[in-house]
Amino acid sequence: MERGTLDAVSGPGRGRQVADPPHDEPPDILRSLFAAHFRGLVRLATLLGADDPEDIAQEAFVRLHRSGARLRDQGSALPYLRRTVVNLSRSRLRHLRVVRRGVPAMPDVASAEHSAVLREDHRELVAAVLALPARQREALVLRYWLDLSEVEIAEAMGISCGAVKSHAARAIAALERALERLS
Amino acid sequence: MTTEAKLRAALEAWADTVEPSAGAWAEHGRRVRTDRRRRVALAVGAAAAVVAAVAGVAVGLSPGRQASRPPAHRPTPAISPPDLGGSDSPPTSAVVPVGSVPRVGDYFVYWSHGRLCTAVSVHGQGLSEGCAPTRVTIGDRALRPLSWDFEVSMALVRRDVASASLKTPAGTYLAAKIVTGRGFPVRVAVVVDRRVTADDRWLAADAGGRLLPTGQPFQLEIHPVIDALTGEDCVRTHPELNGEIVDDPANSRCVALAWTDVPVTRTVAATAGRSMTGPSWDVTVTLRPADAQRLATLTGEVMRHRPPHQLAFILDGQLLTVAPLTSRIGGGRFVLDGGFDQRRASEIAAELAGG
Repeated sequence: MERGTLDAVSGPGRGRQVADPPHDEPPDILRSLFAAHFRGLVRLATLLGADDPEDIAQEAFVRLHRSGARLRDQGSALPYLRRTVVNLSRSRLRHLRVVRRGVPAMPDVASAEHSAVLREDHRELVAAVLALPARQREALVLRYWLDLSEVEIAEAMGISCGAVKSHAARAIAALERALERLS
Repeated sequence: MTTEAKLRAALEAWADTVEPSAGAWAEHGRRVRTDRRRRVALAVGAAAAVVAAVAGVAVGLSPGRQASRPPAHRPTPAISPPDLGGSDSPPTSAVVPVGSVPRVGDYFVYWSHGRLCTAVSVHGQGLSEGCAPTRVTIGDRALRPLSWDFEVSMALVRRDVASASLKTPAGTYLAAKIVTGRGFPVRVAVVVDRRVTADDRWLAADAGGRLLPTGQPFQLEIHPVIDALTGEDCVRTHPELNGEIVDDPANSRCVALAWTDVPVTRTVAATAGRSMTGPSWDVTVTLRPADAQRLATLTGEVMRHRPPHQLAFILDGQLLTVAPLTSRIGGGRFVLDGGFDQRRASEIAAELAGG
């Protein structure tokens, strides 16, 4: 089970090799960070409800590359990446809400690569999580999927620890109500 | 099990289905280079703007230059006529208000050589066909007449079903759209696509475009995946499989499947719906109790063995999808989640549900 720490970029059925790095662009330290955390950040963006999680994770790494200072301090790189993914996912969802308000849904492109088989109870719970307000969803995902401490969650979300507790408690209560309705 | 524990399990299962693409690192390099070029361009643009502003101030201070400057040329934007979508072409389908069908049963209405003709089947038995009603025999619930005219546009109408297809001179069937009521005295009832399956079973759509089952269900095979490789590597890597390899042309790869005892299942119900976990559509499938038990055994075994924990779903002999499996599936009810567009999800559900 991956929880934000990863060891390879390639996914199942997509070949086994990791692509060669582009010529002398990203430094080695970025490459190791990328190999270790890219998949986890894509998954984090997915759990936060982003429609293009890989794009968001890529953008987070580009911003990390742009701010070279954080690259030199590996301890701050991962929190920075997490915070960027959380912020970008939230912005993306806000943008999508505006876009979808007046435009009919476009046909989606089929791809077997994004298929999955989920147990129905998992699917219902995931759907309930996605129906939560963004802040509550973020608090739940960071706490119960990444197992972050309240301080780390507060840093990733840019809020206080008290607000984290409040969002998480409300989210759990909302989920319990949703599960009761489903049962 | 507490809500928190359930939530952890669901989030883990969901996250495990997400895999970034293999070219992610190369894509990152491309983005970094693009970002660098963009920032350089912005810097150059800003410098140019400063130079232009300074030069503009200098020119503006020169006496007499302001009055002699010619008026800025603003080209009038071209106004294009709206695209009417081939409005000069003749109507390709009959036009039938669904609510006006007078009897319960299966109705065909087709446009042939300028004439509006009908064929009526009541539960596959009492039938009439042609521009004047004539009796015709078609199979139980088979929803087509025995004979076809050259270039016939055809609509199928039941109480809740309306669909259309176009038969070409070469004898192949094309999806047709009823786009307008031109040529017919009644309002358009349906705007749908339809297709004819290889064995002439029909997939019909209701007036909202949702596909409805009209024939026998297709067989669904579920196999564990041993490997999925690009090109023809499956044959070279797994020569012992001999026949247990299927092509996945959509992803330019082949998939090596494990043999299973009784992989073929029949579904009790299948419905398409907008995915609750993404922007795409999914299909909720319910199996018969016996098949549900076999699926539970199969998925339990897959999860116990080494990765990849993937299942291949083969529908009517064609690879439908390869999907990661996140946990044993008991109860025979599961969701093929994500990756399908609305039309494909509806087709899959219709094919699985059958008649």
